[in-house]
Amino acid sequence: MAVALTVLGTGFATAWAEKVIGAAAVGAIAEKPELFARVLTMLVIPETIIVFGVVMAFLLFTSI
Amino acid sequence: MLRPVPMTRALIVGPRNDLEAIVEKLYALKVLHIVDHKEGEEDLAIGKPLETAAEASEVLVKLRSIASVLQVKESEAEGVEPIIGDVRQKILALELNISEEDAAKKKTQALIGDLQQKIDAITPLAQLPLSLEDYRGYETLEVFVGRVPHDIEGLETITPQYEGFSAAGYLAVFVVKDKAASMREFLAQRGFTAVPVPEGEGNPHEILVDLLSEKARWQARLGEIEARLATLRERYAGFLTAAKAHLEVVVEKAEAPLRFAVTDHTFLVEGWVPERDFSKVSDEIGGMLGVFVSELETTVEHESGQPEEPPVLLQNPRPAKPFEMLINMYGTPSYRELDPTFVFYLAFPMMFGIMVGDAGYGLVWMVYGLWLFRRWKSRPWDFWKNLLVGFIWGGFWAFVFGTFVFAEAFGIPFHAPVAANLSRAEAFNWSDNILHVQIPIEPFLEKLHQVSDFIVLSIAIAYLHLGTGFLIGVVNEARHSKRHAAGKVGWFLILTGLFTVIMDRAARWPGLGQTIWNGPLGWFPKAGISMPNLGFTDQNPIPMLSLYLLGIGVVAMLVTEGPLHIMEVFGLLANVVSYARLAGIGVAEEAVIFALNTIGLNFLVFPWIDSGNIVSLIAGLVVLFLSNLLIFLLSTISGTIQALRLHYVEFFIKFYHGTGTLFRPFGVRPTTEV
Repeated sequence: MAVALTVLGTGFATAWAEKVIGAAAVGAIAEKPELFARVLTMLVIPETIIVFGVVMAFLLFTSI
Repeated sequence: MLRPVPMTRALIVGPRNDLEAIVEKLYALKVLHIVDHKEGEEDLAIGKPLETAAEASEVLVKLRSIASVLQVKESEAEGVEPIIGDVRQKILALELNISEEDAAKKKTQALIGDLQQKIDAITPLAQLPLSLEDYRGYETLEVFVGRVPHDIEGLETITPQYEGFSAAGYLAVFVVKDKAASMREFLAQRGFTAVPVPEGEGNPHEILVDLLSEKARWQARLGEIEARLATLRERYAGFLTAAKAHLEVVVEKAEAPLRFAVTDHTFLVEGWVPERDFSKVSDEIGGMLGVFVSELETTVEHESGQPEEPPVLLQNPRPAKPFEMLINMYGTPSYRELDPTFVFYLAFPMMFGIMVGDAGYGLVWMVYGLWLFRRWKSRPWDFWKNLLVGFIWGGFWAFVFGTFVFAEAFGIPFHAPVAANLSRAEAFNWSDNILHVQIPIEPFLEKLHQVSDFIVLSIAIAYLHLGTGFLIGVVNEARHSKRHAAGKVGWFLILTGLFTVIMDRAARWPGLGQTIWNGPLGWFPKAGISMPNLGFTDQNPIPMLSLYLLGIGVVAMLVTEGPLHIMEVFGLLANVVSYARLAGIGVAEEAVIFALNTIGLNFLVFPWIDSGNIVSLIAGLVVLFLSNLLIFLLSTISGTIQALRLHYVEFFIKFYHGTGTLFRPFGVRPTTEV
């Protein structure tokens, strides 16, 4: 249960953060296409949240 | 390799009469990064552009307008003709020709637009059996003409004194003026929208036919003009591109004096030259009569009191060169810091390789990448070509890690995993089922069965990577501030402390953690405090040395960087854990491809093995191919982005400033023109 909640919560948090950044990113790219690479890296920054979630979930799951 | 090309500050002074000759020579040498002279410094005025500038810019403007009329694109530079004869005359003649055609084209387009408007206005009336003059000139009648969504019935309920004409979707109603208001309301309620009746006389249908034929005539003419323009374009595209490049050079040279300082009889240029090229400049230009070239002190005081930073020209071995682009994307290294390109060149593709971690995908990237690279031989080094080299290296490491660490290709392991109760698809492997030869490589780490080991591996990589970052930071800071350098050492000690505690904890049970803790870290003094409720039992107590390292590190950091930075210790821990994405991406991709492969095998390939149904085999191979293609692309994208992110966010923040300016010598035109 705790494992599922951890992954679910962090997953949603990541999705929500990326949604916000993604919308801004598309706007920025429309203005300046050369920003694509920089925006792409910014877009994945919230993925850290789910990475932490997965690690925590794994620690809980194997209860070490 | 780790340092940019050393620069020296050059000063060139000469008589103004020789200005043009010197500009030519500097342009040809392509080694001087001019520092723009600013008016007001040392009472020297800014130079005036050469005489050729005005004319050349004028022709260039004309040329650009011609190019835009003909829609000549930069990329059509293939087969560029050499510049022969007087470019100016040629362009003026061409301009005359083209501006005529362009004017005719615009006029025709406007005419066609007008005709279209008229056609739109008359089309509704052409449906109705009335002439234009029938719609107006009544004293006692009101006329309604317009569109209706469907036939309207019951007009007689308003008044019997009306006459109506209707055609598909259109309606004209003539009604006595007294009843006009109620008729208007009645119609409006039924979706009637009025259309204006154009001026003029005659049968609308005939008028429409006339208009259409006139429009067709003009369109034919427009086609002719466009064809002529296309011929011109074909004939002159090469010339225009070449002439444009030529004129841009002329203008750049002619305007160069705007960056120089001048007095009545002399001029003065300052700039940066790579040290190795300085003798070239002093020989070539200093050899001229009355011209004086000298080397200035490199620590020229800037207005801000800081020594002015020389521009940065990175120098890296050829294989690492393409990665400079990814570094510059973050920020050009400043002149006084270590160039991180080489570390990036090693670590970035390796991380990509660990995340992809599949011999098959790695091989595909290597083969496909090298093939594409050969095809792109003549292509300039743009974003995609640089990135392609990154992918080839990434493919190489994916192949290495996929073969020797994970022992799998295309999501299928070399050998059946060591686990009980395997399903048929789980046990499917290269050695027994496909090649029927035992591959002599056993997996070091099975992604799906040893997730915790994979995470431990990621943490170890994090330590090596971040540790390198801090050490580079120590070198960078040591040059101007011992205090900051000590701070970086403090951070390194904290990192080591954290890492050893994590490894110690991971070593509680057999696995990679224990292997590392007792193997490579075997020398580390293990004695310490046990805290069983946190998992640090008597067998693996928290090492005292780790605590000392943490303590010394924190004190060093607090003294050198200030108490607020204590929060960043947790930030560092988060950075370390963030590397678990290496394991996360690796396992996730493996899980997805395993699921897709299982579908393909269970439903299509195994039935072929069991019953020999060839259709099932073909369908199965298609499914396997598509699912592998999907994961190949997905893992490439996420591998690249995540590896980049680990460098930009976790790694660079530890030491990298990236505040330098790129070396742009006079005479080298930027590759990407806007």
